[in-house]
Amino acid sequence: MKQLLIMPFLFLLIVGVLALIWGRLLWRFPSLYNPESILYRQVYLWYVAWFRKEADESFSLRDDEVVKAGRLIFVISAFGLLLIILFIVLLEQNAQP
Amino acid sequence: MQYLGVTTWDEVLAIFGEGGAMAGIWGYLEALHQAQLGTPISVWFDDGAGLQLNIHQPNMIGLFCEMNGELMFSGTFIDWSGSGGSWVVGDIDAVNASWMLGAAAVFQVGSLGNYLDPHQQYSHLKFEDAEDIDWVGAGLDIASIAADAVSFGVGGRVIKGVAVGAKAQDIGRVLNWIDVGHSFGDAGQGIASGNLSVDDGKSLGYSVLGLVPIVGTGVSAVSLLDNVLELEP
Repeated sequence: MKQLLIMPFLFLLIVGVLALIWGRLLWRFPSLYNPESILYRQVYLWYVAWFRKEADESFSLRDDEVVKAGRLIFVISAFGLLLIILFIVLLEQNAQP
Repeated sequence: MQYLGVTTWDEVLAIFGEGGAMAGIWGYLEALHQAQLGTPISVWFDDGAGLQLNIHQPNMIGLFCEMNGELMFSGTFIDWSGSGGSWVVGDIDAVNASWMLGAAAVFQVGSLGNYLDPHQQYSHLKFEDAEDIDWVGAGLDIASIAADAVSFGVGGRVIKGVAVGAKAQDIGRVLNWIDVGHSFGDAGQGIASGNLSVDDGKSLGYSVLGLVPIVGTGVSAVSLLDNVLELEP
């Protein structure tokens, strides 16, 4: 049962690492952004909401905007991962007698 | 439960738990769980020389049936003496089944059932009790998944109008931030009271990673399932 309890944390760790890598890739290679892709259109709408940009039908972002989005994704993932690791450590400490 | 003479599931667990009449024979409970009346049950015994699992020839076959309002297991040894017998499931400790169930190595319900390890406690996915669900967290997850669904629709041009998608994302973003605040509040309370729980940690992780685009939708969905469902014996 203890293994089952750790599963959601494992899921979060994997998702966090993937998001971290993805953010870093976008930050480093903004040409990865593709306005035709449904997934990147999500990033566009997300970017518009975060940075109060005027939305239009082109779904295109300039390279510096993609870099900014990638950096933000990287920072959120890193922060999330830090919290998760900190929590696992805290829980382990609390579990000791 | 009625056959075992108890009224609550906790009492059933007590029968199979430490000190119970059928202590540790969890696979048998799982067999009871899976079987319908009349479903053939195959049992393989471990004779101490190591289990030789011949799937075509169990050591015993039997079935559960109802007689005079009681649940009976009726079985026959098919490779030993050919003898067999029936016993009332609720009185299992009264029969000499202690050695029998104790020695049982594998159960199988029906011809297509999984092989059940008698000493393993099997868990089932269930809805949590209403009072154990974090309803605020669940509501925020559902709302943010809905907002993401709208913006996915815009991205795929199911819904026309990029403004709608941007608005939906905006609402989703606000909901995500409320979720982050809610989780931090819970975790803060846990730390203050010295009673930090696994759930606090999970919901904090879910809400922070929920801020990442695309990934966040999946995280919200898992968060919702994790909140509402639980694995129980």
